[in-house]
Amino acid sequence: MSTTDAVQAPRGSGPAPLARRVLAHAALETRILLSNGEQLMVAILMPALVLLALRYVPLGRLEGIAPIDTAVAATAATALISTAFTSQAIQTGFDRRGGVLRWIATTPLGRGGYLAGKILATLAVQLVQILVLGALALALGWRPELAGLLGAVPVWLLGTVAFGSLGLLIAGTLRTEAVLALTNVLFILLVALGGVTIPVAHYPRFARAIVDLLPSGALGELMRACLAGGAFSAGSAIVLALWAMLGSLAVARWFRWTSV
Amino acid sequence: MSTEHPPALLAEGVQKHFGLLRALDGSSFAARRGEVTALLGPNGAGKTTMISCATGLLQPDGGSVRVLGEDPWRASAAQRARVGVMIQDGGLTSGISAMRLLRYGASLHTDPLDVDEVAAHLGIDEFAGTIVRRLSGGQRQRLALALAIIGRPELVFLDEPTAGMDPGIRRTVRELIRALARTGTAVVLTTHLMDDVEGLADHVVVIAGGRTVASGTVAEVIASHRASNGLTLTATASGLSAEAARSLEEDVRALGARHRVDLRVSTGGAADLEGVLLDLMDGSRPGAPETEESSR
Repeated sequence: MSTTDAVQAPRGSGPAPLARRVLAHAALETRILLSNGEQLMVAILMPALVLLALRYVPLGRLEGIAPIDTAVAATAATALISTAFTSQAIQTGFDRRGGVLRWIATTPLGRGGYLAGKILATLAVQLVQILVLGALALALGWRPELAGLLGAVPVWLLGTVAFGSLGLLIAGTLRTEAVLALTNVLFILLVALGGVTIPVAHYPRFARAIVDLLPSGALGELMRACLAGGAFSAGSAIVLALWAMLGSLAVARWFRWTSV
Repeated sequence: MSTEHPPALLAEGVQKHFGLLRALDGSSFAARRGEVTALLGPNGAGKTTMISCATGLLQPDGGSVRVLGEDPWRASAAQRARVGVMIQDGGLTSGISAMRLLRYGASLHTDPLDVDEVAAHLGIDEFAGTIVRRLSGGQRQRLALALAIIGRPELVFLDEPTAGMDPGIRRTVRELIRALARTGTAVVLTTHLMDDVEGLADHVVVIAGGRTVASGTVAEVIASHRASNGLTLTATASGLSAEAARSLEEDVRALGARHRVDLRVSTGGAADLEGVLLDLMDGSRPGAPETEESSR
């Protein structure tokens, strides 16, 4: 039967079940993210360099804590920001410019399904990051504690929402070229100077108040609390939760599905 | 051709403004099941805005749009599954192979067309493993068309469906569009290719300046335009000197006066759809004369 004949068959196709649609989109996005060399560099290579640097260079360490532990905490925060923020913003920005978001919005997947699939894809890539970077950290002498790992899970999810929404906000409001430039620059600035690799306590007094209020500073402090025996800061948790909430509200308010 | 059912798409007095720009200024049209409806008009006329309103991408500022009886702005997943869309700038995810993207599109539906058959029919199997960003314009068009029809839609929007295609594929695509209409699908397409319109369209809607300025079959639009512009008699005289031409014109005018006809002598006129279209576009411009005849 040719396609010309096939289209003459009775109509009756409906939408696939919601879970199948979302999973199909998550699989598509994951495949794209993992097959893109530049994105892999940001997702795996950059955090791996942070891990190696902080393991061997006396930087960002806490007194009485093994260097590998502070290095792993900083690497986890770097990896999260690279995927949830930088990679997703760039991918979404290009999708928006190419009209992909317009087409997706007309399909049974719809806008909500697209965002749900994107979140799952982000988590899937993060799982790959955890496996690869975790193996590297173990090889470098990391010996994690179960309680710390479990404590890091909600921090990871909250951080993903916060940075994912900020990435979407940039991707959905600026031109693609600006998205590309801004997210890469912000990634480097936040990792280097935003409280990710260097604990907030090490900053000069005038800078601490600013870094404390950054989502990267809050994430870095919480990761160190969970993975490097640092002190848990309720303030950091509140700051990260506020960024997650404000970011999500801003996306709902200002994200545009069509290109500028 | 089915007329007993309500239109698959009914747009009435649709208005859409972007700041001070009136992209749609009360445009209306209907698209019926089993028919190919062609939206025609110059770039910037409002065609894409109209399709965006009909596919739920934009919310009209005024008037109403009903697609398969529902408001497209609030379309559910079940409703969207009944409508296929091929958008003008492709809308194809670029970092994946053509065939994988087609399979993804099919996976969003419960009972899609056979992916391999569609790919073979439209020649997508020739570039199945190629990453979308490396496809040519025509190959992208074919893939976008396949994605629009893969879910067996009841209404399908095709924005410039044959643009950039070679003649062989264009013929295949035209046959496919005819087959879609034969099965009862309502097809709404935009195109600048008049042979596409004359070969495919059951119904033509001309949009200019955000308004519907003509609609009907191709023959009806041409006939209506001719009637509104009066009887057109065409004679070609070549090789005349300026003096002979002037003398001939005076004789023709005298003939008109004898028959009490307000005769206009034109240097040209619309005899086909393309000419009518150009006339209608000019007529829709603010301050433009009703006809473009050159009266002496």
